[in-house]
Amino acid sequence: MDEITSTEPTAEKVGHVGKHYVGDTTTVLGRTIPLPVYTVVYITLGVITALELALAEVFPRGGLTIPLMLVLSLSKAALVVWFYMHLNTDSRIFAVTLLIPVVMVSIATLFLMIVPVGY
Amino acid sequence: MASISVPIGSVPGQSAPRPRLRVSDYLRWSVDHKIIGVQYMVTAAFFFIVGGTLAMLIRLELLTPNLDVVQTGSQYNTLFSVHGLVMIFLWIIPMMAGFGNYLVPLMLGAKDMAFPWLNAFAFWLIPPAGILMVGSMLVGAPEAGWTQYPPLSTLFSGDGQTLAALSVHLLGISSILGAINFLVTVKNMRPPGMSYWQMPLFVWAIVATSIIVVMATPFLAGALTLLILDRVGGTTFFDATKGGDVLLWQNVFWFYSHPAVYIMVLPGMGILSDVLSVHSRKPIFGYKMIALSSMAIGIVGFTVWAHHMFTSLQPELRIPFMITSMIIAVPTGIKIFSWLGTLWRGKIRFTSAMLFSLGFLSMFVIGGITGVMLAMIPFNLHVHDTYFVVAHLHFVLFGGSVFAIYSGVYHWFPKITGRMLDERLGRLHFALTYIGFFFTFFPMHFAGMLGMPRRVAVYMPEYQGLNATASFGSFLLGISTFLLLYNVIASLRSGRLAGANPWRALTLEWATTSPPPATNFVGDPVLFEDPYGYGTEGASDYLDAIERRFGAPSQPVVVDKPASPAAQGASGD
Amino acid sequence: MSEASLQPQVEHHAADGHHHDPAARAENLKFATWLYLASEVVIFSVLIATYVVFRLHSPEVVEHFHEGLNEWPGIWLVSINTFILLSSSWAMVMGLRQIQRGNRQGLIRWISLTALMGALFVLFQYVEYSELSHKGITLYYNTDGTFTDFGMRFYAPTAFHGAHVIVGILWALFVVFNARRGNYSADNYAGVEVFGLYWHFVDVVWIVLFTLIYLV
Repeated sequence: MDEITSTEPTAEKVGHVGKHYVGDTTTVLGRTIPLPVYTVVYITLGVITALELALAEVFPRGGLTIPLMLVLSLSKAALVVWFYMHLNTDSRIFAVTLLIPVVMVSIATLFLMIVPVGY
Repeated sequence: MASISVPIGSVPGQSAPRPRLRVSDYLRWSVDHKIIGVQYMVTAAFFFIVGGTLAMLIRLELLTPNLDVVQTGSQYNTLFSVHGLVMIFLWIIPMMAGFGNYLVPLMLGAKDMAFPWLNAFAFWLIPPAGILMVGSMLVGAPEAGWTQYPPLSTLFSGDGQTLAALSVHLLGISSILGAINFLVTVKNMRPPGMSYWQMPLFVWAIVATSIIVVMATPFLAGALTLLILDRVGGTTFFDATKGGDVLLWQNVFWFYSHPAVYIMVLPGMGILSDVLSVHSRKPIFGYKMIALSSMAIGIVGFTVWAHHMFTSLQPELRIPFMITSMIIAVPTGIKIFSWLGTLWRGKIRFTSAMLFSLGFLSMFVIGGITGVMLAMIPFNLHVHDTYFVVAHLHFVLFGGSVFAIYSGVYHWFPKITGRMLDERLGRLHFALTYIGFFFTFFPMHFAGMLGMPRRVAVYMPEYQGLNATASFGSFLLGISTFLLLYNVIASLRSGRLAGANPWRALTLEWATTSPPPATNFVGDPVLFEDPYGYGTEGASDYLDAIERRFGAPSQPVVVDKPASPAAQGASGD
Repeated sequence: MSEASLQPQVEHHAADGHHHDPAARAENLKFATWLYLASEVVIFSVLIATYVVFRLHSPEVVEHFHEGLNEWPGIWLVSINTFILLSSSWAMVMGLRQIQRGNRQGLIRWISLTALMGALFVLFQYVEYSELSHKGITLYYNTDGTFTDFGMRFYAPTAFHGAHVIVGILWALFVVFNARRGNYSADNYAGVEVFGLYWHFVDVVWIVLFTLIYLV
């Protein structure tokens, strides 16, 4: 729990080599892309959104359409939380703080979905 | 024992100038957690009187089977609705927040909370909320009970229901902000050398409570938002004739309100853990188990909500909730047995604080047992919405939370004011409260099992004996409250000087003057390695040093020199 | 009785020393923000759950709503809005990156862009709401048309989200204001980071809402 007391600002934690900030390039699957991580995530988010739209509007609906769209949406959310909200470098307590209510409300919502409504 | 020795008696000049606080200091915005703590407590006590007055009116009405105090059932509905809302949201929760505010930074050796400004802001949401709540009685009063079930609360209640809902909304925001503050304070502001496992158990209880507040209170906020929208915005979320869903409210409300029961009782359990250990001069039994059971209660507390709805839920969903509701008695039982283990062969001093804690132990167990009874579906169906439920919840919330609050008041009043409360009056207060409480609420069990429904002003004549007993008990209970008030006011003027540490307690809040200076500690607070290590030579020396440094009480209250080998043995872990 | 000795395990400063230490203050602020966001998760979930339950039990109404989205601007407006909000999140982190390197002007530019895109989002949401109300989707129970009790379940989560965006815009302007006064630097940017957490959270909520309400 005490790793949170680490006090360096993030820039130094990420570290920089010479004049190059590590955040300037992104390594995906062993290949280095000359774009900051944030930008790569941004592009990915856009692509996934386009994919979702295509699923919803272009392709015919199947049994898997809805689960697939939910998975895509959750992966987008995870990307933002992981990279933009710095859970990848920040304290794990923050992640726990987010996960507990997410799990709890998911269960609560599922419960509300299985009880009958309308009375 | 360790490398660096700091003789705490050796600092010259003893202490910082005593804070000279006037009444007016408590009436204005302040970011000092001690002032805010007192503000919370005094505000809550005021609303305790308000809620108590309503309770007296309820009992006066129920003295006879007919309408006499109130003219209509609606007026009676208002009485118990506002009584419930005030007692829960404006008395117990803010009172516990008051204890937390005053004590948590002191117990952690910090100078203030992590966010002093936010702390003050959270408090100042309470007075307007209180005004809204009391004002709600004047404009078409709320009539739907503290649970505010629609359609009663949407289609039938007066405008006061909207005000009451807004009030609860504000109080919810206040307690969320307070809880965030507590959690950050505990996580980041413990002194070096105090691990999580060296925190006083009251702090642990506040942590568990705060987690529940942060995770559960927003459920209520969401539900209340929809309720207010239904009342003023023209939506029909809870109107079954227009596509709405009444059960939605019940579910979401109890998502919050069952955990809220633990919000109200866990800090009380924290108070008890400290008081019992200090006044029986023995290390707390099962420190880790008490701390972890608070967490377990917090977690399991989220899985039991539907036992409030056994009559409105479809049958096959009830069983799991019966099981979880029984499981939650286990961590509570762990605490009860740990406390009994603490008392076992201790050098018990029957101070008023201790008496109220013992009162909690005895009464809360009854509330716990009726809780398990209510968890059983067949029995629950029989007594659902009867006076049995009323008896159960008052045994838990009065016999539990309020007794713990009283205990905490007697225990920490010397620290807060620098003066002792009168012990003789305190014992009288305890005797009257205990007897009055028992005769108020115990007969309700029988009334409920005989079938008397709750929330009615007119009942069948055969219940009158039980109700009259309850009413006379409650009048005694009402009178006993004024003993405490008198005691507080009289002791503020002329109580014996308390010194720094009248109970000779080892937690950090006692290692400074009473009342503490504005910065809480002069220099760095000096920690004793084990907050409950009573009865050892080291503890005795530490306490003597505290006394020399910060001042002794005008008469000794506790003597705990390990005089004989027997006493030594008694204090063993 | 001789002098009692007390043994603190560590030589320490007053625990309160944290207060004036920007790094510790940043930790406090971030943890508090996460806790606040945790409670926001719950309150949003209540509103989302009311929609999800409705979606489950009245699929035909929702399908009808989706068909209506096929007319211009319909789904296109919402999709553009979604891209705008995603871009604003990107602008936000780019701004944070600038101040981490000590570039205050960069911070001001990027955060202003964030606020601008937030404002565009709200504007487009307003346009969308007025389109929908013409189709009979209102907050009230509406007896003409098929959208009787759909409106309230649709507006409650989306409008609550919109309100969060508006608060976020004000917060962004406050950050810009602070930046112009020189309150942030390469080792003191907790204020920006905390705003970022809030803004991304609002973005995440929209990511979920967009899929749940407009696509599923």
